[in-house]
Parts: sequence; C-alpha cells; structure tokens
Amino acid sequence: MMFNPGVVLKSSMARVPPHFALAVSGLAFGLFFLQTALDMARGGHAGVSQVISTAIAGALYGSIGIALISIVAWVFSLPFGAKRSVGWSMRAFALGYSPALIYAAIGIVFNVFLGWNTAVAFGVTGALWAMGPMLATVREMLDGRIGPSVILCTVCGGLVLFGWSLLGTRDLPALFSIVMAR
Amino acid sequence: MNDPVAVKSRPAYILLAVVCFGVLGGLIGRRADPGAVSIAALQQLPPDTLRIAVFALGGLLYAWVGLGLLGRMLFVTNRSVRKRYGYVAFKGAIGAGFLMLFPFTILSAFAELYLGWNAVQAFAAAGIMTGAALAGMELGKLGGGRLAGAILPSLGGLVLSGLWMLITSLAQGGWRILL
Repeated sequence: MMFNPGVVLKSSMARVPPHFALAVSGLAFGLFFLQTALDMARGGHAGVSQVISTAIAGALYGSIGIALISIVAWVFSLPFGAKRSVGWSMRAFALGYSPALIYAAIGIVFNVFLGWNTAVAFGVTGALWAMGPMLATVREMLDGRIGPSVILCTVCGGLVLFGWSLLGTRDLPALFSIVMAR
Repeated sequence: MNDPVAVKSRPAYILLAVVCFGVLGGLIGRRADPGAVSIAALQQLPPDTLRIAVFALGGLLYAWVGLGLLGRMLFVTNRSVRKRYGYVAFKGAIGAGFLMLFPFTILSAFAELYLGWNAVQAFAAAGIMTGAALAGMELGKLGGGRLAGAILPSLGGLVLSGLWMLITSLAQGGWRILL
C-alpha cells in the first residue's frame, strides 16, 4: 500500500474485512494522537487523563471519522459513475493509513524508550503520507480522471485536517513551535 | 486502467506544480527572520511583502531547476521508456506526479493561515516526496522497471525534499539576501 497503492487497491481490496481496515486507520490516528499527548506531557502541558483521552479520541477519529470522509468521497464520485461501492471506498481510505500506522508505531518506540518528541517527525509525517494512497483511491473511484481526483483528494485531505484540528489538538501549534525552535 | 496521462507532456500540470512551489516558498517566507531579505532598490515596499515575494520567487526557481533535473535524471535512467516514448513521457510523468503537490499546498496554506500551525515544511517535504513517487508510478505504467520506476524517483524525491528543507531553513534565518 505504501509503494504501489494502485495495485493493492485493484487486486486485494475485496478480501479485506471493513472492520480490519478501519482498525488500521483507527490505530494509526490513535498512536499519532498518543505521541502528541506524550510530547505535551513531557513538556508539562498534559496529565495522564489527557494523554489517555487524546489517544482514545484519535482512535475514534481514525475509524469513524475516516469512514465518514470515505462516504463523502463516494458521494462525490456518484456524478462520475461511482465505479466502486461505498464499502470499497471505506476499506480503501482506511487502508491508505497503513504507512501512517507504521510511522506512528516507530514513533511510539522512539517516544517511549528514548524520550524523543515524535509527534511532528513521525505522527504528522505519517498522516501526510496517507495522501498518496488517498489519491490512488480517489483516482480508482473516478475512473482514472486525474484533475477531478486531485480536487477530491484536496477536499478529503482538508476534511481530515479540519476534523483533526477540531479534536482538541489546539495545542499542536504550541508543540510545533516548541519542536521547530529546537 | 489504461492511463494516457504520462505520454503527453502536460505543461499545465507542470506549471501548476511550479506555482505550488512558489506558494510554499511564500508561506515559508511569512515565518522568516524579518531581516532575512533586504533589497536596497525596493526599500519602499513593506518588508513582509518583500520577504514573502522573494521566498515565493525562490520557490519558483527551485521548482524550475529541481523538476527539470529530476526529469532529466529519470530520462537518463529509464532506457525502455526513453526509447519507446521519448522525453515527452517524462515531462508528462513529472507533471502528473507533481500535480499531487496541489493538495499539499492547499492544506499547508489552510494549516498556516487558518489554523495557525507552523507546519509548511512538513507538508512541503511530504508533498515533494509523494510527487516524485507518483511520477515514478506513471513511468512504471509505461514499462519502466522497478529500479527506474520506483526506487530512483523516490531517491530523487528524497534529495529534492532534503535540499528544499535545507535551503529554506537557511534562508529563513541563516542566509541574508542583501542586494
């Protein structure tokens, strides 16, 4: 899914159970948000309960939120013939976060065992890497039309970012400032 | 899916990608050290406007040089695609791949201007690498091998992205552009 999402989408998507796919994206966002909360806790800006609640919020956003965004994308694909089903869209969007899950898992190891602030380097980067598979998914849904695919990918990416900002990562700007200043 | 995109040169896609580099440069310029740019002949311009404009122009120049070099590198290393389609296929692949920079640019502008996040570099780095990888996939559809269609474009994207981060970081606070 990382290196050739198009092939994975065409050949393997039908065999993937939806709950497994949504668990991948849920776990990816859960670990990403956990890293953010751990970085903030390390700086004295968050307690244990906030760390736990942030991680849970991330997991819920990564599963339910991504599922909803995939449905929005499927609805947008209807005028173009809707080549794929809504279930396929959900599975493809969710599995597009497989790279993000790998990044987040590696980031957690560095964060917990080495004490590094990893939310930006591993969390944000992993979430942004999901845009590549997202474009491949949308192109498959829109029968290969690259222009509408890029526009729909922008809309979906914007929805992901907007939802992410609404979920109380308001402290992310402070975290970015702290990390970028080092 | 028989995608004819990569066998056309797609100049509009390349132009949009270059503009995206310019926008990303301008967004980075917003956060640069106020004294990073000083052009004596243009002292009457507001310093913020001047700084953003210079960084944006730098982004355009970087895109023109960087995408051109990436395209040439892929051209030299992709013998099968080169013989069958010529350089037009490589321009098309670069255009189709780096069109992906558009969503990253829009999202970075949204994050910077609306959410107040200092995250343009993260979006730029991910966008450049994704664009290079997608350009490689376009060449793969035309018969480029695994090395020339996946590994080399990704390496090229890594270099482009790394140099972008280095140059913009230096320009933000280290280098002084004094004319």
